[in-house]
Amino acid sequence: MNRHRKGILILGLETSCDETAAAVVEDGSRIICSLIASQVEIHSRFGGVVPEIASRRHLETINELVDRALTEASINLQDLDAVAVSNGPGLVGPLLVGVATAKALAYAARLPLVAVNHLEAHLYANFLTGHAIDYPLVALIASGGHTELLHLPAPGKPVVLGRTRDDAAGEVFDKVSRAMGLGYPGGPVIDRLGAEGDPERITFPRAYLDDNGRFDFSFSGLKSAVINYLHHSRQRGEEVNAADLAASFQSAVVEVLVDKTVDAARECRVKSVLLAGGVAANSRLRRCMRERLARNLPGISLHIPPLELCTDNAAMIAAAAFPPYREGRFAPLHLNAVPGLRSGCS
Amino acid sequence: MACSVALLQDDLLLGEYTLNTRKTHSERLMPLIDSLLRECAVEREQLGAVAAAAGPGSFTGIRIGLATARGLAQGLGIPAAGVSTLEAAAEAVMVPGALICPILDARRSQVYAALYRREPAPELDLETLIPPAAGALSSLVEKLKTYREPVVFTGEGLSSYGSYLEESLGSRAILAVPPSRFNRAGLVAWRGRMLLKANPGLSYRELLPIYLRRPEAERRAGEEKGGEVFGGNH
Ligand SMILES: [Zn+2]
Repeated sequence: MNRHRKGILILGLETSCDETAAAVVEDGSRIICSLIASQVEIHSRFGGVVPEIASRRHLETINELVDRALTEASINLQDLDAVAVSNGPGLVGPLLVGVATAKALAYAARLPLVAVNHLEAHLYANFLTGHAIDYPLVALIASGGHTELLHLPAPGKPVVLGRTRDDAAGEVFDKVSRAMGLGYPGGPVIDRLGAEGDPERITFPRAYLDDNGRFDFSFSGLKSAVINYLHHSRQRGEEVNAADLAASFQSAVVEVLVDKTVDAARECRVKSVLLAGGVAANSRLRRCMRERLARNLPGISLHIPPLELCTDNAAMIAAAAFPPYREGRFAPLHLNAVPGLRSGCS
Repeated sequence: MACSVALLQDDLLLGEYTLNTRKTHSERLMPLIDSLLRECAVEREQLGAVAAAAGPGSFTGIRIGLATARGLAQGLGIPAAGVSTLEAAAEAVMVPGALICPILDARRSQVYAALYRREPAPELDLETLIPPAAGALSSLVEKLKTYREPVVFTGEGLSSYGSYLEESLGSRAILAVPPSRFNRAGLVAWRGRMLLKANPGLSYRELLPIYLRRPEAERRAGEEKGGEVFGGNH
């Protein structure tokens, strides 16, 4: 197999939670192939991700996935320009498998290794769609594990404006869904049900926090309010309109996410706003963000990844590795997994 | 578990690093491999095969070693062999007829252990008398009492359990000297070489962990197999 591509080819590996993934991306923007071996079914009977089971599975899966990715891309390991891996944040056992694998592969093939912050990598899903994105930009990353608002004045230089102080946005969707008896994962179910309900039927609290942390998020109060509402209704024997409840809850989450993102975009005088992470798949969030930006900040372009790139994948890891690759910021052989890795310091 | 790396050229041990400190294997392993190759003036492309301890032992430690070995084997396109940590430990005892019992601490008041008999020359293979298992040391000792010969104990578990073995088995318990109890990569490489001679087609795909224990979540879900853990097949 001969090298017939001109761009920079990066192999990305992702094992931070319950998806084993490998992908080859060219120039940080073109997916050559992106493979995901999901463990969702294995963990579903435990009601959540079991780190030891996930770690075992990653080890059994990852090398074959790399082989398949290279075969699909019609290249050899030697045709790559770098290997990239997420070394945090995430679950330590699963992360260690990816980090050890990536280090050994890169060492064996004499390729540079790039360490990628998993959370930041989510926003790079937007760079895989073929649209040009102008800096500076503000990115809202919201999923089951994280909620962060980042400012990127230039490529690869994220500044954290705010993060969640308690539950992640996707986490409250799951918890509210469970309390309503709608199952897991909660995001798609509430999105669908909420579309048929009245979002103004029930007024739930919106936490905007004080001036010091006004770009921070807090969703635990909202979660408690929804659970209390359900509890009191049941005590009084009143029937709960599930569609109205889902719509009202969703509207409370979305309003805070949109308000803070739009405020941040205005203040940082950005040219683009990016959504990323599993919650970016929410249709109300997508619609409200688009409407608010068009109304308040016309001229700023909004980027939202396609659904399959909102959740964890390795293409976003390879894409996120492109700026550090170009600057020659490579990881040492003693690279470790950092479960609590913060943004802006991968 | 110690972090150990060795380079074997045919039967000759060119070099070995063994560290028994707290720093994580994740940070240590690759730099040690790189340093050993440099010291021995061997290029990574010259490696003919890779062997790794497959367990039993610390789940995380085993996975770091195996993931590294898998990546090296895949990246270099060379064969790979997974070696039982208990068998590698038993390799240090080459006395024909000897009963050898490697013991590793398995936490939760249990040990990983097995009982081997060193076969007579010229083969000197290891015959398995009690297959590797995780269990209470007391139940292992009960099994060992059914043998008359002395038992040579080795393995890192001796630092916690050596005195108990001497108390229960008296003069029949022979403990390896402390520095020779640690898992050593030289012995893993040696054993791996034997496995690859017998089966040259082994690849990273066969490099699978020997956990001997299910994940805690599965055990709690009531899926643990019942019965005796140190079964024995004599
Ligand atoms: Zn994620």
